[in-house]
Amino acid sequence: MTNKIVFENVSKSYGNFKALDGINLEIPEGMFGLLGPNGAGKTTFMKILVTLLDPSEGRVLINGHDAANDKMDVRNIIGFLPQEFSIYPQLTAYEFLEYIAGLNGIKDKSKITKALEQVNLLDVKNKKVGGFSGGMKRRLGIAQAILKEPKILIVDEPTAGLDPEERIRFRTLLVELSQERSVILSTHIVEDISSTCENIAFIVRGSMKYIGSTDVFINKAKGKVREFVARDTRDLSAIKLKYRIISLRRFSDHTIVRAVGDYSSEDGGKEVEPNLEEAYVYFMHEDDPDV
Amino acid sequence: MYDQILAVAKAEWRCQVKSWVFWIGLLIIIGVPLVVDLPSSAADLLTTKSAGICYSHGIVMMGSCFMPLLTITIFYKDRVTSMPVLIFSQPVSKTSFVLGKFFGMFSVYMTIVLLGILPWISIPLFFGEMPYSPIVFIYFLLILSLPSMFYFACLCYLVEVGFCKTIATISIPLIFLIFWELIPGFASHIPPDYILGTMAAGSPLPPDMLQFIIINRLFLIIAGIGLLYISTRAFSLKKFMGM
Repeated sequence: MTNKIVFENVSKSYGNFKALDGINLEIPEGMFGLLGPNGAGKTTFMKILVTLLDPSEGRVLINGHDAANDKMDVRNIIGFLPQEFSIYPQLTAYEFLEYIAGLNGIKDKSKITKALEQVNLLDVKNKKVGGFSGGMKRRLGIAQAILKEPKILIVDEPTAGLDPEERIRFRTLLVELSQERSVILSTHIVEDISSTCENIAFIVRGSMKYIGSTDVFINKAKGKVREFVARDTRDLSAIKLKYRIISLRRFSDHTIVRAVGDYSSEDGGKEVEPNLEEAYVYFMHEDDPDV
Repeated sequence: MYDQILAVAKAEWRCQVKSWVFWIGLLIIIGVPLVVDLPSSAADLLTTKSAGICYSHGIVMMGSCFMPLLTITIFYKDRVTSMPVLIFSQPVSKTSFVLGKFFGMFSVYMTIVLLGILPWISIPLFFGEMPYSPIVFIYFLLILSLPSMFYFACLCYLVEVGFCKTIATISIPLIFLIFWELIPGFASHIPPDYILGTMAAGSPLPPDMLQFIIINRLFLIIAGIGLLYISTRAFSLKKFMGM
């Protein structure tokens, strides 16, 4: 059976503040990325998806189950790694997974060993979680999420705070896991999405600005990214006035500036192929960022 | 549901017995009564029944001081670790979580109490006498301590779940306990001078005393179950985690 996640006109308010505003979305199979800046509403979106929050309006259907009314059915088919979490430090990795297995009614202890093996933590299964590094805790978080072999895996900002090597390892693990299930990845780290997700949703201030293929999203920023040569600070200031600078490469007598913005013929520079990060920055700062 | 309650209780017990709270509990519940009632010579040795009653009374008194602390730590680690976010993304109900937490907490207390029997029954060995019978200790534990401590644990737990405030969990049960003790027949512990002297002396209990014990103990157990039920209703994830 294919997994189907549908958001129907979903809004969530905290007092007068609208964290999500009329979200309509159908999440396709495979690895799906939810991209947006901090405070865009990604975590609220995820918490509604995993039944930790109820929407103020609209409904979310996961494989036909309403996330607000059939919480237990939904929780049975999803695995969730939250953005901010920690584990009772007194428990060992094995004891922690045994706890999660107990909550899910999993009697087969070999599944615990298998999950630890998948995240490469089998060697430290009897060590207390309190002594784990950030990356190890994240991997243990993934182990608890996949323990029940969920149909849908939901991960919220999974690589935040990890070193580059750990981040690559984590992304690889997510892609491997997506072979057998749908994976929904929420992050503000563009690199995580660009290297893993075929489809994305772009959320800004609680509204979906783009839903579709990552490649199409990047293509929409075509013609908006340029490389300039800045000889001195005056050149650089002129570019800064009109464009958003993505990167600077300093050479002995000049600086190569890569920037996004609306081009006019007198600006000069050379058009370059955009990447996801540049498309993200461009559409983030559009006055009307509907992509 | 029972599996989930057991899983929560087991994890709770594991966390607590590895924490400093467990050692504080051992010190308060076992150490204090042991020091107070320690005989200085063989002539001062109590009979097995008297020792069992002393122990049971001591753990109720000391347990009343320790229980609010234990209750606070049960939920404190959830607040600082955000672990409930992980837990409530699993197919677990609030009722299972609340009951599991309670039974985990109470099993920690019972572990301390059962461990405490060992030094107590060994006291006569230091004076070259036969150790006390553990069966007698367990008998008095079941009659005198368990209903009292179950009730008090439920009371502390309800306050913690309802208010989520440390100061309330420490003060309200103790204030309540003091006033509750003034209601004849419904005291949460059986005063040793009133009944226990008779039991320790080995005389049969008069029927009115026996009736009092049965009613009092039954009342505490039922009241405890009632408080626990209210706790399951009062638990709010929103208040608990600020979600």
